[in-house]
Amino acid sequence: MTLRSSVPAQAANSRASMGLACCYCTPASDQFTQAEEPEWVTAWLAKRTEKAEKKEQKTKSETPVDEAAQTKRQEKRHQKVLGGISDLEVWMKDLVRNGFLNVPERAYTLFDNMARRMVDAQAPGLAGRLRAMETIDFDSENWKSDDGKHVQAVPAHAELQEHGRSFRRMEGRDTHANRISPVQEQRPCRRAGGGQLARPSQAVRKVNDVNTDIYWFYGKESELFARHLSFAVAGTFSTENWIPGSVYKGTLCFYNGTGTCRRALFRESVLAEEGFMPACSPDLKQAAAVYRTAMLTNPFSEDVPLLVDAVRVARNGKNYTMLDNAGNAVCVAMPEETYIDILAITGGNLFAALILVNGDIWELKSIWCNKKYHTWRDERN
Amino acid sequence: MNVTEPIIQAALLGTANRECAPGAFPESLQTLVDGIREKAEDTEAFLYMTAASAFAYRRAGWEPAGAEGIVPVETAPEEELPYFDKDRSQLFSRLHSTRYMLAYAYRLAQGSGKIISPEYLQPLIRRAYDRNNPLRFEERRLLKNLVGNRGLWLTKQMGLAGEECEKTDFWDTATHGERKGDACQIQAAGSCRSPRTAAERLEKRTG
Repeated sequence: MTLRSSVPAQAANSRASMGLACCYCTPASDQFTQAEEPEWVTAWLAKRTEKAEKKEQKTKSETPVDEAAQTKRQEKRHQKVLGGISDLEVWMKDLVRNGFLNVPERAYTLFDNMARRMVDAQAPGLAGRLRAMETIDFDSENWKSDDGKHVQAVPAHAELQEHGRSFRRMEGRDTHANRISPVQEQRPCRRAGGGQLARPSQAVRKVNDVNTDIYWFYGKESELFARHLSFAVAGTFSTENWIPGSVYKGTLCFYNGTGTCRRALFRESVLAEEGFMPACSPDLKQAAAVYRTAMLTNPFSEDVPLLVDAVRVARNGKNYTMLDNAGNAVCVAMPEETYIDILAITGGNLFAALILVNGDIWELKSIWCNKKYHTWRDERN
Repeated sequence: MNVTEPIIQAALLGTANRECAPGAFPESLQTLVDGIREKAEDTEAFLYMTAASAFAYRRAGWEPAGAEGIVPVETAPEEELPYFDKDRSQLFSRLHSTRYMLAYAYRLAQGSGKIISPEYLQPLIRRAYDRNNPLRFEERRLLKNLVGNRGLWLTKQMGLAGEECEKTDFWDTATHGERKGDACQIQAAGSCRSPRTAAERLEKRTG
């Protein structure tokens, strides 16, 4: 059936066509008569078919990949990255030669300029790490102390230096195509088996107007964590929206890498209706053992996820502490609002928690109280 | 043994100002540091590599601290009344940004014999104790019957308990002219030479 109205504007035209379609389905349809396709319809259909065929042909007859040119491009990029790393090393040596004490007053320009240089050198991973150093709270005394709290600046620089070194050491050991390091982005390459996955946490990071949602999944059968990144341009909705604390049946495709929480991509996922409570470490000592194992596997692991049961929170001066029944305590990073929310939900009783450990910082992300899942709002949720 | 403190000190002061000689490491780490010393091309590279090793060493042997000296929070008393269902509790949360509707909702809910779920209480309590909220005293009075025992306990944990809501502050309800007059009276009392006269004037003002 073809419907055409004489209304000129496109939107109004569609509405008029819809109106005619409705008329056709009602008793008033006897006003319509059967006729041959008008010429303009035939021409339009022919043009459309021709276009689709051309597109298909173009896809099929794509020029073969010029491998020599590809290798040359990769080599050029590699040299660019190495040049950037050399500059970074010189800059970092100057920094430690003069001491970190004068870093706070010029932190913004200091890190930002070098981060821009790293972007030029096509090493966005290093640029991201430098920008992360900008966010260290240099006004607090913790940044330079070693009292078991937040020692941040020194290990951050040392790790940055090590990433540069490790990239250099890769030279000659592997092909360019297989080279993966924190300096460059990673590629998906290994497929994991299916299974049920719970989504225990979500965080949002915003870089250059691109919102990066970080989803944490826990395999019900494998008892492993997976991290999934979802990108969305500011002002648009993300295409992937998993509900916190829900269970999904799906298959994951993992990125290469060592560690307990590798990045992964979803092959398929279906929301299941059942509830699920993950297996947790019984106390903080056991959780610390899990953390130590992760550190032994990969000494530079970041955001190590830990599940710990039977804990409660308490205020300790300006900081917050997580306590267990065995008399162990860990300093946790969380805003005042989260602390009050936890007290409101738990009433000061014991609960299970998901914690992300990054160096010396333990960050509480979500809790299970009486087997009920709770998480906190972020800028998007 | 603190393996990272000497490295932090050296990095803070700078290798140009202080000799970088971190020592007294555990035996296993010391062997590694000695190896690094031989390989490193300069002092700065040595410091960075030693720092990376020492921090990784510390993380790999991390243990939680003892809870001595930390006072755990006392548990909240049991509730005597049932909670509103999720939708109704959420409704109070949604009305949080309105000016008069929240107080109206509180008034409607007064005789229901139910209380608001604890996970929605924090913003409502904060609003009721916000000094910029002109309806705070009324909201506090109405909310008291809707928060239950846990809400009252939570208010105490938030450090807001004890702020009485019985008396309305003159300053909150006065017009601009009245506030101005009040400020002038305080100023006049402050300029009195005799403390007795000043006290009398202030008493007259509040009375």
